[in-house]
Amino acid sequence: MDFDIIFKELKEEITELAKDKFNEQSNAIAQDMQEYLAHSKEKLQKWAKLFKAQSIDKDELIWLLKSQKDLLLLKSLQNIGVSSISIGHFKNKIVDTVLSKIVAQVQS
Amino acid sequence: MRVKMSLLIGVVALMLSSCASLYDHYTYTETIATKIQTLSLIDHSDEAYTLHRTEIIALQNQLQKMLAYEEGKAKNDITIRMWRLLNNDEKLIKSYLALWEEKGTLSPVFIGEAKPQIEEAFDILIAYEEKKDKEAAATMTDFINTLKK
Repeated sequence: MDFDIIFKELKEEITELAKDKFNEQSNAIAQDMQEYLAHSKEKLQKWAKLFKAQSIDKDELIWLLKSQKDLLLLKSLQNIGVSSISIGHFKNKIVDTVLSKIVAQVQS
Repeated sequence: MRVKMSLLIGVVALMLSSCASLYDHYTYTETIATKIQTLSLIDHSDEAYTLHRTEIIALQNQLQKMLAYEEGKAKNDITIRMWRLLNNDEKLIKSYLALWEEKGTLSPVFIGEAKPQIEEAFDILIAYEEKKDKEAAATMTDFINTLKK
């Protein structure tokens, strides 16, 4: 099992996903995800050892590997969503500031 | 008075159209409840699948209920995608249940590795809901209070 190839593919997939879904902040998201991948690597190595020691079988190993990929997808969605919320907050602040001024004018 | 009312309607409409999805306390508490329900079931997956059919069906129904609820909300694309993943037969929970059914029982070593994976999935959903737009709701309340003065 070549972890370097798996990680290279995952990095590329995540970078593409970030660019596709959230172009403006794709670099920050990709950076975040690469840190998460480093954490994933430890798990994958542990599972490979358990499989080698026959503590888990092939089906179980496959489930675990797929589950990590699913978690990476969830984490990507979370990062994209959080960035979107930050932009939403910024927009709300602008709307609030503008309208507060208008109301102040109306009330005066 | 009429001017104020028109302005208030305008403010609410503008804020709703500009913000990302809002924090939903029902989603938050139900996600935690679903997490507990799932992890509790996983704890029993070293026992025969057939002994737990009722709880398994209840969990599948709960997952579907959450997806249907989230799909009913506007500007909720990320959360919907997350719940779709949790409802996908090929992924995380449903594929875990399928493996359990196929094997009859699962090994404690595997359960020990799989459980934190599913726990982390729910933690991502919970953390995301916490990050949602509480601030927008607070801003809207402040603004309405300003108009009342």
